[in-house]
Amino acid sequence: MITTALKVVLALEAVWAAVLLALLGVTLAVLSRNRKRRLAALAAGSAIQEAVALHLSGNNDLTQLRSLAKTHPEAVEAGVLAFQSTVRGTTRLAELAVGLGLVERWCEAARSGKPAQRKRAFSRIAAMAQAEPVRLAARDVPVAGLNDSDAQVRLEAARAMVCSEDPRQVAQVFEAMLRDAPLNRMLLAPMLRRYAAGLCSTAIPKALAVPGIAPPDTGRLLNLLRLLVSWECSLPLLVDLRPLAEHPEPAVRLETMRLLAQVPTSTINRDAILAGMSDRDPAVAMAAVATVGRLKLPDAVPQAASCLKRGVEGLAQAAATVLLEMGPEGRCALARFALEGQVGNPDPIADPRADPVASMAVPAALELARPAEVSA
Amino acid sequence: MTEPLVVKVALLTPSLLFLICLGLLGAAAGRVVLLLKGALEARRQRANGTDDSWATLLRSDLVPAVAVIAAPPDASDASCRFVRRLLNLHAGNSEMVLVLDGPSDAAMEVWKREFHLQPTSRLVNPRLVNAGLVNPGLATKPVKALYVSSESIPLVVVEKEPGGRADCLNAGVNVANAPVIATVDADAQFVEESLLRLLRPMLADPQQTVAVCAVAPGASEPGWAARFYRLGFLRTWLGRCAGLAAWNAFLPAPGCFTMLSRDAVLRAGGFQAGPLEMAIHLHALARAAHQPYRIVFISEPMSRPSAPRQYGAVREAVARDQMEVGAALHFHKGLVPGSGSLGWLAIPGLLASRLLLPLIETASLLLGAAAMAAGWIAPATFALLVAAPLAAETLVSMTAVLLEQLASGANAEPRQVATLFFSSIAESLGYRQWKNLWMVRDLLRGYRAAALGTNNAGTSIAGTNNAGAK
Repeated sequence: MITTALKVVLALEAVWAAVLLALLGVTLAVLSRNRKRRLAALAAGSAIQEAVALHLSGNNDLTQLRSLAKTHPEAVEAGVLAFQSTVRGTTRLAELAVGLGLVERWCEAARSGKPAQRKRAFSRIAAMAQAEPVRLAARDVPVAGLNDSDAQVRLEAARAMVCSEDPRQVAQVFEAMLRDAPLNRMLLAPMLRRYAAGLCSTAIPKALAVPGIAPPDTGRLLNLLRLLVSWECSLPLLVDLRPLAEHPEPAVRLETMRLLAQVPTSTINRDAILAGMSDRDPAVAMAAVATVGRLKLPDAVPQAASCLKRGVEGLAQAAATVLLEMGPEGRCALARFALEGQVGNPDPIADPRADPVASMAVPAALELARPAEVSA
Repeated sequence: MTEPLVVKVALLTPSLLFLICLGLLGAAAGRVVLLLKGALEARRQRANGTDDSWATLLRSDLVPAVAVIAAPPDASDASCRFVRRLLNLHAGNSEMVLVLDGPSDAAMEVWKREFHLQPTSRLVNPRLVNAGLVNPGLATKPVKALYVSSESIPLVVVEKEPGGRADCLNAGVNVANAPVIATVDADAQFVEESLLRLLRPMLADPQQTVAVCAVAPGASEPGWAARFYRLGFLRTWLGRCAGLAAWNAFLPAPGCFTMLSRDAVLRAGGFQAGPLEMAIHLHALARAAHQPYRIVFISEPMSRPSAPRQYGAVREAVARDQMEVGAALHFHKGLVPGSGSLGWLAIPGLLASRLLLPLIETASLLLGAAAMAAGWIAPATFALLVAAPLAAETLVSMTAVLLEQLASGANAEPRQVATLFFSSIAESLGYRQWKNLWMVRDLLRGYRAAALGTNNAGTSIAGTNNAGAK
C-alpha cells in the first residue's frame, strides 16, 4: 500500500514537472521576446533621437517620427522625454508631443482604473507641463488627479499642476498639500518654494486664518508652519502671528518662533519674539532665542540674559551664544552674569565643552574687566 | 523479550518513513503556496512602480535625519571601502556612526589615518540623564572614546569595549542623533539612493511604519556553487521576505538594507542579535500591544547579498544566516506556537525550514538506509521514499526560478534562467544532503551562542565569518 501511495505521489510530481517544463518554455519565449524588444528599442533609439533633434532644429516633416511612434511607441515617448530634460520648456518639443498624440494618450491613461497607469500618465504630463501646448491639451486633467484616492497619483498630479506655473493651480496644490500625506508634502515643498512670494499674498494668509485650536486643525496648522519654515527664505508675509505665538500647543508656538525669523520684523512680530523668550516651554524659548540671534534684535538683550538664569542648559547655551553675537551690550550682559558667579567652574584645564556657558561667559567677563584694570 | 520489540520496530518503520515522507511532501506544498504568494506580492510592488523623486526628497528640509550604523570587525581595506560606500549614500540629512568593537591599537590607528579622526566629547551629560531630560539609551559595554572626522564627512566613530554585534548596534543607536537608523551587511551590494528609497514608505505612513527593509536576489554568477546559493536565496527571498510580507510578517534575509525607527528600537530595548531578531521583536511588540503597524518590504533591486562563487564562501554565507536565525529563535522561542501570521506561519516556518526539515530529511535518509540494510523495507520502497520528497524539493526550486521571473519582470537572460532551472536537479543530488548537515549545526551554534550571551551571529555586517571563530 505504501509503495502504491508513493507511486501515486511520484505520478503527481511528474505532472507537476511537466507543467513546470511547459511554463519554462513559455518563460523562455517571453524572455526572448522581451530581449528582442529591448534590442530593437535600443536600435530605434538612435533613429528616434536623430529625428527629434531634426524636428527641434526646424524640420517640420513628422513622417519618420510618426512611423517610429507606431512601431516603437514607448521608445518614442522616452526619446521625447529625454530631450525634455535638455531643452526644458521649449514649445516646439511640446508641440511635437501633442502632434504625436502622446499628450492625448497620457490624458486617457490619467483616467485609467489602474493607479500605476494613472501615476505614470501624470508623471509624463508633469514633465512637460511647463509648455503652453501641453497645458492646453491636458486642460483640467491634473486638477482632477489632485483628488485621486492614491497618494502617489495625487503627488504626480500636484507636480503637474505646480509645473504649469499657473498661480491659481499652485495655490490649489498648496492648500491640498496641507491635508495630504507627509511624504507628498516633503516632495512638493522644494517645488513650491519658488512660488513662496506669490503664496504669501494669497493662500498662506488664508490657511493661517482658518485653523482653530481643535486637534485636527492644529495638525494642519503645524504642517503649514513646518512647510513655511522648511523653505528657509524671507517671506513677505504681512500677517499678525501673535495668535500663533500664544497658541496653547507648544509645537505651534515653537514653529511660529522659527517662522518669525523669516517674516518682516514688525513691532507686533518683535513683541511676539520677546514674549516667546519667556515661554514656559524651554524648546519654544530656545527657538525664540535663535530667532533673536538671526535677526540681531538689540532690545532682546535683557530677555536673553534672563534665559541664562532659567537653569536649562541648552537654553542658557543658546542665549549665551546669541549674547556674544549681539555686540558690546550683549557681551556686557554675559559678563555680568559670569561675574555674579552663576556659571560653573571656569577652570581652563577642565574640558571647556563640559560647561559651554562658562566657556563663553568667562572670556566675556575677562574682556569686560580688562578696561577697568587699565584705568585703575 | 527483545525479539518482539525488533519485530514491532520492523513493522512500524515503513509506516514511520511513509509518514515522514508525507510530512516532507506537505511542507513542499506549503512552500510552493508561500513562494507563489511572494511572487505575486513582489509583482504587485513592481506594478506600483518607482518614480524619480529622489532628488527632490534629498533637498527637502522636512525629511528626517538618518543615522547609518556600521560595525566592521577589522580595519581591513574591505572594511574601509564598506564605510566609504556608506558615506556615499545619498540623503538630505544623514550621519554615519561607525562602531569599533574593541579595536586593537593598530586597527585604531588605521581608522584614524583613513578618516582623519579626532577625539570629540559628544557624550551625553550625566546631569541631563539624571534629570530625566535625556533618554539614557541602551545598555552597552563601556564606550572608550568618540571621534569625528576632520574631513567634511558626517562620520562619528565609537570606540568601545568588545561586546558583539548587537552591542555595537546598540552603542550606535545611543550615539545617533537621528530619529531613523539604518544598517546593512558589509558584503551587500547596494545603490547610492538606497536610503532615500527606504525613507519613502516610512514618510508615507510615519505613525505605523516601524521598519523598512529592501533586498533582492543578486546577479547570476557562473559556477555550481553560485547557482546553488542563488537557488537557496530565491526560496528565501520569495518565501521569508515577499511571501511573509504579504501577511505583514516580513523577516529580513541576508543582504537586507534595514531602516528602523529609533524610537521603536528603544522601545524594544535594543538589539539582542541582528536585524532578523529585531524584526521579530518589533512584530511581537506591536502585536502584543494590538497596535496597527507595518514592517515594509521593498523587493526592488536596491540591495543584494554578495554572490559567492566558491563552496567555502557559500558555506560561510549560509552559516552566517543560520547563526542569526538560531539567535533569533533563541530570543523569541516563546512565540512558537503563537497566534496570527507571526505565531502560526512566520516563526514556525523559520524553525521548520531552517532546522526541522533539514533534520528530518537527514534522519529519514539514515533511518531508511538502516531499515533497508536490516531488510525491513524493500530497496524499491526505500528508493520511492527517498525519491518522492527529493523530487518535490527539486520542483519547489524550479518553481522558485520561474516565479522569480514573474516577480521581477522577466528581463533576465533566457540561457541563465534555463541553466538555473535545471541546476535544481543537481542541487538535490548530494549538495542538499551535505548542506542539511551543516545547516543544523550552524543554527544550533547560533542558538547556543545566544544562550551563553556570546552571540555574534550578526558579524555578517562585516561580511566575515568571525562568528564561528568567537
